This record gives sequence, structure tokens and C-alpha cells, in this order.
Amino acid sequence: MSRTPAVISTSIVLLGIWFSLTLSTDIQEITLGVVVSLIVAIATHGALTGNLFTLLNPRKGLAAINYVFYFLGQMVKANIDVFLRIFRPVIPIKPGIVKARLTIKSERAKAIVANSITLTPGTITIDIIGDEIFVHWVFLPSGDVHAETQAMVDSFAGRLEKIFE
Amino acid sequence: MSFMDILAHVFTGLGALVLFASGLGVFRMPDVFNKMHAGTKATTLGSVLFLIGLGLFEPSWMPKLLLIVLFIILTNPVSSHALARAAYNEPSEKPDNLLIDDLEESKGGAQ
Repeated sequence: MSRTPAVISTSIVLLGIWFSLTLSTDIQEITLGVVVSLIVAIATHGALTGNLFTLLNPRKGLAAINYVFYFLGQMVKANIDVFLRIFRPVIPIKPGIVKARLTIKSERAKAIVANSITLTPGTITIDIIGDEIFVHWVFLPSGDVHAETQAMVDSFAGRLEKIFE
Repeated sequence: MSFMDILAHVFTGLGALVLFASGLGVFRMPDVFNKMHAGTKATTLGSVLFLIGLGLFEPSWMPKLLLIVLFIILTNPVSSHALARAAYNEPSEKPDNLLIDDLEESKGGAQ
């Protein structure tokens, strides 16, 4: 069945959560964990992780690791940015909502891009309509605003495309 | 004091500082979207740093704390989207200081 890899990878993730919550090697705990995680995975694999075995492909796995580190770096930068802004006597703001186009098709990838943009410097996602994403800037970039926004969105979407493609 | 303890104090201290900045940001920013910038980014990293610092104090708590960290990173931006959309669609909350508003044009075109 084509759904089997998705069910198994979801149940592995759920089992990981179970182990970090129980921290027990008791055979009863483990059996219960395996059974419950399989049942939950069969019911929810489409909504949760999907098929994670594609990440075993080294190219996609490396792309995923690259994405995580890029994202963490951006998140730290975002906080330094907020920090420096807030302690100024007059907060420098120049707000605006700018449209950009999402080339990526997968709904899961769109959600990840939207979440990443919210947590990175100076931008939050307001809305996604179809394949258009609306980004709020706390301080609009100088130069061509739409090109800058598109470049920022593509820096995430391009990295994700290598994983989802 | 061991090296781990010092590291734990550094992490919790940084986390508390970032959370303080976030609170101050929500207080000082002039309108709802800008408040959300401070209230989303800084609370996420602040709680993450604080929880990791806590995990360094008590290494046996670390797996559970990492689960909470993952949960916060996944859900905090989602709540911010919900709030931002609600604020945008509520005329009394929508700020009038936007220099560009592409969303207005898109909505106007659709109706």
C-alpha cells in the first residue's frame, strides 16, 4: 500500500514523543506505546508528518538539515533585530503589507514557509490566498520593495523545494 | 559551580532578558501588527532559551523540555497568523500607518 511509509514514519515520530515523555524501558510501557502510536498514525498520518522516509535520500536529508540551521540563524537574527529596535528612544518603524508569489505547491511546505517568515527578521505573515503570500514588514526595505520581499520568500521556498520537490 | 550550572544560568538569564524585551515591545510598539513582531519572535526564542537552560539544570528533564520547545516553535507562529488575520479583517483594529497595502487591493479585486 502506498500509505504504509507515511503510517510507519508518523508512528515512529509518535513513539519518539512517547519515549521522551515516559523515559521508561518497562516492557508494558513500550508495548502500549507501540500499539497506541500505530493506531494514532493510521488515523492521522495524512495530517501529521507524511512520508518521512524520503529524507533518507542524502540530498534531501542534507537539504533538510541546511534548512533547519538557516532557520535557526534567521531566528536569532530576528531577536537581535527586535531587541535593538525596542530599546531605541523612538522606535524606527516604516510598516507595510507586501505581496509575494509562492512557487511551491505543497500545502505543508506553504505552512512551513509562512511560519518561518513569521519568526525571521522584520517580517510576519498576515495571510495566504492561493499561491500569494502577504507579508507585513516592520521596516520596509529600501529599493524595490516587491523584489526584496520576493527574494526573502524565495530564500525559504527555494530551500524547501529541494526537500519537497 | 560546575560548567553546566554556569551554562544553565547563562541560558535562563538570556531567555529572561529576551522575554522582558518582548513584553516591553508589546507595550511600546504603536499598532497591532508591530506589537505582534515583538510578541511572536521574542517570546519564541525567549521561551526556547529559558527551557533549554532549565534542561541544563536538570538533565533528566531535557527530553520533555525539548518536546515543549518543538511545540512552541510549531504553534507560536500559527497563533500569530490567526491574530494578524483577525486584526486585519476588523476595521476598528486595522492601523492606518501602512505605507503599502497589497492585501487591500487583492481583497478589493476579489469582491
